[in-house]
Amino acid sequence: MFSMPILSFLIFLPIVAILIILTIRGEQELIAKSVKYITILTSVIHLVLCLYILFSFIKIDGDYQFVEKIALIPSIDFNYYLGVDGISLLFLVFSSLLFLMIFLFIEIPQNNAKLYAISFLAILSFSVGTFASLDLILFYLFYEASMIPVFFLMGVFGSGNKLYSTFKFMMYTVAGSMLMIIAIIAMVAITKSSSMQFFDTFAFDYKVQVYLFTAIFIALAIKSGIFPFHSWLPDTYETSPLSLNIILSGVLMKYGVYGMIRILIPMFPLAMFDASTYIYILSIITLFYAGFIAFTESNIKKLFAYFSLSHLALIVAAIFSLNTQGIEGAIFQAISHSTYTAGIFLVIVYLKARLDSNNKEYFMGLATPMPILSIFIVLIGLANIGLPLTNGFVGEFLSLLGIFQHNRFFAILFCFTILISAVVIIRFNRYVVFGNVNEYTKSFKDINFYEITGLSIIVLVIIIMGVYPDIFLDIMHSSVSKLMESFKNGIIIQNDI
Amino acid sequence: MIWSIILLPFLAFLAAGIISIFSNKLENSNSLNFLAWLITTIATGLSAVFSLWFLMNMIKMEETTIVYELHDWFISGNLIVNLDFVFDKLVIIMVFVVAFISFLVHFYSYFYIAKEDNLARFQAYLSLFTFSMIMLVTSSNLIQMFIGWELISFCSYLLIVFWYKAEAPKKASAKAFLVNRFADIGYLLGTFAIFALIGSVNFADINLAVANVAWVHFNIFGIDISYIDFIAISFLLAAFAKSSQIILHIWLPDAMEAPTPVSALLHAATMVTAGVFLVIKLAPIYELSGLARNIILVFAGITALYGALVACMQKDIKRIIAYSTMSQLGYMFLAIGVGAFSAAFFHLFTHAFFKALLFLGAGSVIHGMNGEQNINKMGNLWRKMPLTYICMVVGFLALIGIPGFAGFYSKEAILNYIYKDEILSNYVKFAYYSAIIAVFFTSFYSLRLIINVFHLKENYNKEHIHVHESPLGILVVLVTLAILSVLTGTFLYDSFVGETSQFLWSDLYFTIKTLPKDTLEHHIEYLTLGLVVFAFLLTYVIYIREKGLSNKMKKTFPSVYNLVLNKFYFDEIYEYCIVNPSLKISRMFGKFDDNLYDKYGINVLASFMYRISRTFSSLQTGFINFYAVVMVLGVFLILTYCFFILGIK
Repeated sequence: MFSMPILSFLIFLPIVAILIILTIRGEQELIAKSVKYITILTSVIHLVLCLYILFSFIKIDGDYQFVEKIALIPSIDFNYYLGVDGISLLFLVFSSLLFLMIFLFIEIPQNNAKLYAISFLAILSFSVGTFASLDLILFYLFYEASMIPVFFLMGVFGSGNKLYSTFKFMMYTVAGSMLMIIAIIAMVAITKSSSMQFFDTFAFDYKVQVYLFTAIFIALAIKSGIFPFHSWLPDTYETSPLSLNIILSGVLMKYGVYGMIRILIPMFPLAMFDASTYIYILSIITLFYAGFIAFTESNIKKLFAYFSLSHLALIVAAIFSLNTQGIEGAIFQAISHSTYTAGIFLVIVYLKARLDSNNKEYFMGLATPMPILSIFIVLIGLANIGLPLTNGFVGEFLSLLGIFQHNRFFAILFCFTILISAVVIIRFNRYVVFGNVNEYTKSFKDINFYEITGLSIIVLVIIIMGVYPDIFLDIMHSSVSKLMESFKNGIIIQNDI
Repeated sequence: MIWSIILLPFLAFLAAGIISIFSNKLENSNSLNFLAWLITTIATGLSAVFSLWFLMNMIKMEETTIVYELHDWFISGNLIVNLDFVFDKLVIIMVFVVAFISFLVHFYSYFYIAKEDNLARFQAYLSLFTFSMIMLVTSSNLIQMFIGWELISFCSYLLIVFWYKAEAPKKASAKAFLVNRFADIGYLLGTFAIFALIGSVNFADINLAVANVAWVHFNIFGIDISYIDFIAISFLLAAFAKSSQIILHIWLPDAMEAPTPVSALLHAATMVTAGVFLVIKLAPIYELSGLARNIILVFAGITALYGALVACMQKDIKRIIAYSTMSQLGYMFLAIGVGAFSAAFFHLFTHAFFKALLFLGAGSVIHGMNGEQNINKMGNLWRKMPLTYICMVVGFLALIGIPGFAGFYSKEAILNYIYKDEILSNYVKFAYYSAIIAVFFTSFYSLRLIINVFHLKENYNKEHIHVHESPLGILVVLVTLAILSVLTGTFLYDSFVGETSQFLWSDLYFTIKTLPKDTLEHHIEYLTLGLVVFAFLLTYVIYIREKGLSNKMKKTFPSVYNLVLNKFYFDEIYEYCIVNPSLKISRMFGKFDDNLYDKYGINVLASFMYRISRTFSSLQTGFINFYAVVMVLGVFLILTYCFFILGIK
């Protein structure tokens, strides 16, 4: 259908940019400037290509498209195998958008500009690989490789107690990776194949399913911060640079969500089905625990870290509702969460450009000195709350509807998420927007045109997704129904045996 | 034409919003503010005119329901959510009321807020408020209605926090938003259950299908719950918060922190009526659920009494009227509780006019008194502001239900429906008595307010406050509303609940019980009038003849007095039982997560791993090295696991 290997191009484009950046020599300022242009150019091309895929994607076809396959190790059926369906495409497009946002609207640090750009470009490249791999081993390689640049970014550009949190992040990552690779090697060893499409139709024994499921679920739960595995996240958010926060919440946390949809549902349907109650319990704990902490947290970066945890918990629970609404809601909410969290962190970037502090108390009463920024804060807050006509609503609604159809009791508990989100955002607004102006904020200048553009793009995306969610839901419909079919077949096969 | 009814307020909001951003930067923004005011007022005015014209047309052409399709909002599996706009007679009347009251409030605000900064922003909020309410009213399905439902909460939040420099509005706005947000859980659950039961969220489908599935149950922890009851009670939660029924009412009196025109809009046409409207929209469900109706009767009865009783002791003129709204909303729900949906809507309709009148009149008084709101610090104002006085008296007479005024007809209809209800359960009896007794308190607080504000002796500092009649703009609005507060009852009784009411409700799905004028029970009329006279005498005695009496009563029943004065301590109970504990829990969790969780959980493991990595890479210590070491270790472990434990070769 389409002969140009566009997905490979998406993976290797940032790598080429990295190579170009490596060759740059000269003064610091000059380097920073040229790096900036290269990164922007790369990410613009990247996004344009992603959008090209989005528009030439055939929606009614639930199968993988833009497929590329090169055999690597035939004996275990390990291929360089790429392709996108409606689900991975959305994740792909939104990651690309986020990278463009951070390159365009967040200043590159003057010293070490090269390292900064290279790390982000590497994550960009690997994230495409993660979302587009159709081979389990390939998926794992990209998934794992994405974490390495994060260490550099945290260690070099972080602030505060960065060594501690980098180490903690790494501990968690390693623990997750080990579980994941154990499971993957076991799967490959059992079946002599590493193609995801093969696993979609292969039925493991129930007992094996449970083991594999547990291992991979924990690995993915670490990424999306489900309760007992969440504690890396607040510290990481606190110390890492804000651009990395956007990528963490928008791309890396979504690895967990994506992995659950791509790997757990079709490959371990029975274990998935049986585990849902336990996962609901873990999610509900995360939702309340993290949400409650966010009420009184005074460090704004940590506040939104906990808030993200609380939102991700609903997404994970919705995946385990195992019906169309729940899964579509989870995917939609995952991509919406990327946008509005990016919005919030962009606001924090602009605030920190005026006063370098993480404390909520220092940013009181922005409504008077910064009316335009306040409008943006309130609007982005609405998406966080999940008000209809913003993108936060559709995902949240479908997720909750999915859970309701699966389990009435947990649905009632999960519905409290709308109250918790509201409390967090209303309290945030009460201090930061409508609070009393203090000595720092009274001299703040309102955001300039450049900054307005950045936030406007986010708000535009939020509103378009809220008013015309069908554009995005349409893309995933057939893929999700194929996924559901594969899930149901998995259950039926087992029952027949 | 029909789009302009919906879109004009929204466009006005956008225009005024953009103007407000620019006017912020200017030193002298009077002309810009005026422009914003003009645009928004004309837009809402046109919206009102068009809706009236549309209603006339609809009646003339004898059309029932007109649907305007916009686009599919979202589709997921078998869930299809449209953005369609449905106009039947109920909807269009509601749209007219909303747009008309909103037009008057827009117009009025110029004279009320002129000296405040940023009128443009205020007008923008008001227009958005109007738009959201029209969205809510015209929606074709539950999820679309949720747009308006949430937007009105959000608008009320913005309007209450309009004067954000003071402390009280911040608290009040948060309270309003969060109480409503809590209740929205009910809305969502109700919607989910309806979807699970019927497979559709359109009002048309729901109302047709619901009778066939009335017997379906589901199960939580072995408890059988009827879908219909679950749905009815869930939506009731949402409706009770919006319409401020007892327990969820706490946000309404505090919403008085908003500028007075907002209160007029919020109490008369938007926000609080949304709950009643939702329940009327879902009438077939409530006809099937006896449990929900009984709950309504109990809560609404208590609300009617509570609101009227608490209003008797308040000092703030706006708060008195606010509690009065609560009590009147109780009446509307009482009507719903006995299945008299038409009477509930009729009361909503008449109440819109006289409550807007009372609030705008109170605004006029406050304006004349330079911002003073305590009724004890007023007095003898009728000489200084005669027209305001007359209009306020008309408003109160309509509220009390004196024959000839609008409130009489709607309230009498409600009382008759309750009296004639076939199910003579204790719930209905309770509802009846509380409705009757509430009439007494209503008369009492009404006359108390009139006497304290307009008669008695001046109790304010004449040197500082130069009381003056309000400008012509305000008076025009008041007189218009006063005329409507008289006329709407007499002229529209027949078409709403009387002989010809079949026509109006023909396109809705509930059982229509007509109540022709000549079948009204006269003894109810006499009873209520007797109570009114008794209350008037009592007020006269307490406030004019025996001024010591009230003090004496305070001393004899201090506990009762304090209980009522402090509104039965609802705010305090919420503060101590919900707000403080959750903040405490929040801090506790925060400390736990910061210190304990890591200290005794993850970090123990971490230091162990770190030590291992040290021994492996004693020459260099770097994260990447460590990472590599652990990966190698990991792969080693994996192979072991695979080959030995799983026994794979």
